[in-house]
Amino acid sequence: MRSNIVWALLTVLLLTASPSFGQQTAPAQDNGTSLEQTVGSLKQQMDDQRKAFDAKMQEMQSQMDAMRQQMDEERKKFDDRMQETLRQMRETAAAPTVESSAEAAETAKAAASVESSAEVAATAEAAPDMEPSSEAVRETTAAASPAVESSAQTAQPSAAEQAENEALAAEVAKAMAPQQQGAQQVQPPMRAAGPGQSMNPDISFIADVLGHLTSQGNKAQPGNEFIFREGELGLQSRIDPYAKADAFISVGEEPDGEFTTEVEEAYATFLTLPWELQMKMGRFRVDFGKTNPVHLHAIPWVQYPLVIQKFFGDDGLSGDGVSVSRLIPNPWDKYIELEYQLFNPNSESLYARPDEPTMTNLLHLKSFFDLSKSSTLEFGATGSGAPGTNGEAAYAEGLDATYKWKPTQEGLYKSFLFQNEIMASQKDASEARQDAWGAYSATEYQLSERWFAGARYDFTKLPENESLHENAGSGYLTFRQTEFCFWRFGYQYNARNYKEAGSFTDNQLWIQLDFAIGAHGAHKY
Amino acid sequence: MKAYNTLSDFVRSTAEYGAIGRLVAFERRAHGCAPLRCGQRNVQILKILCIVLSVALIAAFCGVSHAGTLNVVTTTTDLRAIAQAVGGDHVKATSICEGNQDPHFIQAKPSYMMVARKADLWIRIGMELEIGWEGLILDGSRNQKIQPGQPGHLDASDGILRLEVPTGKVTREMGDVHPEGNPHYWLDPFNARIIAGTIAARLSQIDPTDAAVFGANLATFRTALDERMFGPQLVKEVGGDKLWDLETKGQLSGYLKEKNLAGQLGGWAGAMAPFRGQQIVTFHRSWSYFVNRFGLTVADEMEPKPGIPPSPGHALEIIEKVKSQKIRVLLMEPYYNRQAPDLIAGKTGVRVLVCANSVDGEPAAKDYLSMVDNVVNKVSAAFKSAPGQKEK
Repeated sequence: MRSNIVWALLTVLLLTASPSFGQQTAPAQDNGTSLEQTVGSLKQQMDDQRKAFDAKMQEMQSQMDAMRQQMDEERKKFDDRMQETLRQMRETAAAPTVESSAEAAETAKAAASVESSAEVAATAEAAPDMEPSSEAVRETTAAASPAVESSAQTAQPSAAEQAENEALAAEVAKAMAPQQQGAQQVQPPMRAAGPGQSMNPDISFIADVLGHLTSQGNKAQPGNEFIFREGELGLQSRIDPYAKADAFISVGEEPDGEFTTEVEEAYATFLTLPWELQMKMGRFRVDFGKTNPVHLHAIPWVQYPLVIQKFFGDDGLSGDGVSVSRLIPNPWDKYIELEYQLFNPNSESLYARPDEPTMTNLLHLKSFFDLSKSSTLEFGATGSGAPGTNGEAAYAEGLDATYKWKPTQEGLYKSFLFQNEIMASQKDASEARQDAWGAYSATEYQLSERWFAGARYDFTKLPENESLHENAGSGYLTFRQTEFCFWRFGYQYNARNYKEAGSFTDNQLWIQLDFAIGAHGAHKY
Repeated sequence: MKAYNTLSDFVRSTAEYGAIGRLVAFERRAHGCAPLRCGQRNVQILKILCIVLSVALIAAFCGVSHAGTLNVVTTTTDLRAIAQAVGGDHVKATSICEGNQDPHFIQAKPSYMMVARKADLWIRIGMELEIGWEGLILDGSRNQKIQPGQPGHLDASDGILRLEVPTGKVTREMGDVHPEGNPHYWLDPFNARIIAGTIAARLSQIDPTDAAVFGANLATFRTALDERMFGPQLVKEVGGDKLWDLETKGQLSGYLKEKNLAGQLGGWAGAMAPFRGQQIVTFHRSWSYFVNRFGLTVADEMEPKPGIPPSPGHALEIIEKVKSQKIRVLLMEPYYNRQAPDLIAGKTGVRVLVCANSVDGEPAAKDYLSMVDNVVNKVSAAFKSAPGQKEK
């Protein structure tokens, strides 16, 4: 038996090693005569191109010298003008402002001169292959000369550049206002632009405001009011070559009118692990199904589906922990991802225990299929559990299926979404085990470039008491003003077999405004 | 490269046979001679597991290394076409975008991650055109080779001629303005020349053994492009580099007159020359580079600001402008709604010209050269035909 295992391991090892072995030895093999011929012609080609390259380099060098001279002249002119304006400013303005404007001028001057010298360097190195990594290659490969050619070409419109410099100088002379920014922004048309060159993370802020009308008479519940549901500050950046960080700090008004600040998510994702593994650690929205990981402002409804609210709390399931995922190789080359998460869930979730932290395991499988260029199908399965001994264990499972349609050519104007999710829970309550389940089915249709109509049906039992259930139907009309702002009108009718705030049913009417400023976020599919 | 194929195939096949031989031996021992310490079922399970694992591994490795050809994934079809032209047989280029799709609004489908996963080189347009989706696909691909900063990640906008680089502070009040300049730069044949050079240099860096081939392909592509741009006759007499040098300095027509070659100007430049100075209306600010190269001017855009859909008020302004300045052509991509342009055409007689600005955007645009051919043919034909006709 043991030797069998050893054999199996050896087989696997051999298999793993073989392709790399092949790669290492392969280039040594090549067929004889044609090789010599190609080497000969190659050498010739390389020689020719090297000559051409040298000639071009000399030409470029002379151009560069000329440019450098011109730049020096420009700089002198510029400095003179600056000094003159400074003198004028000193004469005219009052003492304190003189000081500050002199300071501004100094900094502007410094920035401008640094800029202009940087420009020379930039135009000199505009050729894409001038990066240090490729310099060695340039020497040996023939294809480098075309790229240098392009750099020679890019060096041409230096006249325009100078006109721009002059314009800049004039501008600075005219107004001594904070010109540093202007100096940074003016750049030759060929240069890779500089915004975002700092190490600051991408910062965004997304606000969610709700106008809420309800038939519920109870004053303890949110009544007819405007509510600032959430302001989410997003900070996203690479940490280092190995990992990136995502943090979302959320400030919001709770139903009782209290404002709370919390870390909604903050995690590091490690992107360069072996075997195509990805790991994240920190606080994150748990990958239970399709909707739960999505932020409040990104769902196509006003609130999370009832089943998520009742199983995991109003804001869904999140936790502090660790998550590891991998793509599963398959013969059809489809996207199949398996993810394992281990976390301590938020206190409102069904796993939570009042007196001790709960360790919850979760396994999530996500698969994705293209039916055509315009339509896709996504299936997911989730299993999770927080085992316990003395009547505290809780388990939950889920299945989700999503169909999306968006034509390639008219994708700006038309789309369709059909999304379904079903969940079940088993919880050891004080008296007996409670088996609850819930589901929702939702659809959204894009009417035009900016208008979307949607509907959702909800049903759920309560995980703490399987005899209680609630269902709801809702409709939505969304106006997407731009990518960064939308308005949503929603109506929902709820019916329960128990009383909440003194009533079996209620009607709710919403108007929702979401707006985002700052970094342009990417949207998950 | 052929020898490489056979050798690695040989090594792989021996490994496979070896594996199967070992599995057979494993099976025999399990069934026959040796007294089984564990239950037979366990062995069976182990056997199945082992087979599944081997098959999965073989499948995985066969999938990853296509010996000899570089797997290039580009964000748009134009980059794909240029990469394919430069790479030739040594490259298999795939595009994420379809030619008739608006490249601003691609959704990061997981299937794109599967495409990117196998890429040796990822080429993007850059200048924030793909800002809404590129990062998600790259992260999701789990492919270390193509992450930004790696040799396998190439920004094709390096070193190109940029237009409309904002000089002040950019805010979203201006609509969808890109801080690094207008990203629709591939419509200028001069830029296509630079892009091809950039791609050839990077391909040579990744695959130095085929550098000469890439260099030769690049030369072929550039010659073909030059001939289409200026006409074969003129390229033969003056040379492509010289012509482009003159063209970018704005000295081409003067030079041709001086040398008595004005009649020789053919190709796209020749076809568009009669229409220099003409005004057009476009839908989106995506034709700036084309218009700049061929001496047209954009009087206005259907979108009041880039990315903001046409409004009735702005349509009225355009109607006024079209009437007063006798504008004859309204140019738009196939993926925009032609309702508003048709309304303006109905009121003014301006000709609505639907024209793909990317390869595969319409059947006539099969590769980069035929794509520009198509645009030039359509635009020049529209100028030639009498105003007041609507394209059907």
